[in-house]
Amino acid sequence: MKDINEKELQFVADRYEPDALDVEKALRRFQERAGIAPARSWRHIVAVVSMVMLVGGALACGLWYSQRQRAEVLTESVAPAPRYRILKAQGEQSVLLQYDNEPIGNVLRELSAYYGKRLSTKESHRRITGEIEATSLDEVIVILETTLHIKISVK
Amino acid sequence: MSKVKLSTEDLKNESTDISALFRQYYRELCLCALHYVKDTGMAEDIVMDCFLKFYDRQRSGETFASARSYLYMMVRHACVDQLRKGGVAVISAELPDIPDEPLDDAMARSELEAQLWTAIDSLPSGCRNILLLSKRDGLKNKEIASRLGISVKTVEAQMTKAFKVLRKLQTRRK
Repeated sequence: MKDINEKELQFVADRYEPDALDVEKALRRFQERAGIAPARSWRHIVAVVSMVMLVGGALACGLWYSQRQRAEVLTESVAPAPRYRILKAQGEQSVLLQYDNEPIGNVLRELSAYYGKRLSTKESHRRITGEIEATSLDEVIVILETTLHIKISVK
Repeated sequence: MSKVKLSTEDLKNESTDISALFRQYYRELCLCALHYVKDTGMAEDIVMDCFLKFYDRQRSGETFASARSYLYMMVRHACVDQLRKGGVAVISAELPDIPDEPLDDAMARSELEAQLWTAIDSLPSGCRNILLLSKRDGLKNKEIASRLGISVKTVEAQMTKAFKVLRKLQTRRK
């Protein structure tokens, strides 16, 4: 308390009001009455620029996100080109399978649809790349089970 | 305080200068006026009028060795005029502040008071309230504590914090 000048502190404390002696407010009033245009201070410019960047950034994010959504929707709604094709029309059981780093779960799903059976495996996350030519479902299953060392169940 | 350079040829900077002067001295001039008039609103009006008159003189080509000194003289004279008019303003009884007080002393004191005002303004409202209850209303720490429903320790801590801020923002010592 030694450092604070007591008399001056008392004087100020007695008269202090939170909204009084607002310099910027008074300056604006002064500039109005004196006919002075308020200077565009660098602070003002920084504030405006940051606002623009914030808004611009938000807009850009929104746009990017909605683009992504649209892209995702597109890829989902359009059926992915079947990654297997029928090699020979002989028996409808023959297939040539071509996959590139595809999770085996997806492969089994497609095979299930083609053969009308329910195929499943515990290791559905394992991936397969390459070609498999087979004349029947049983053959496909054997090949997959042997190659990947997994167990496929058929229902 | 540095002297502001005023040049009549350089009209381009004129408005910036007066605004800079305003920002720099407004508060301390108001506190100077408060030694004469009791009401803060009236003090602000007086200072505003002085700045407007000063600006007029600037524009009509007057140059000033020290804008600050000139503004202080204007404010003091304006206050005395106001009092002579017998208006609403009343001199605070405890201050025998008369125009013959050396200008330098008045300026130094008002500058200090402005710093204290700014410091009090910067306090969080709870802290400020406690300081004012103590200094303005004369309450003891115990009384403040019971009135606000907080512990005496808290009051003491808040007072210490307030004084730290005041000490820091006060650059001029008497």
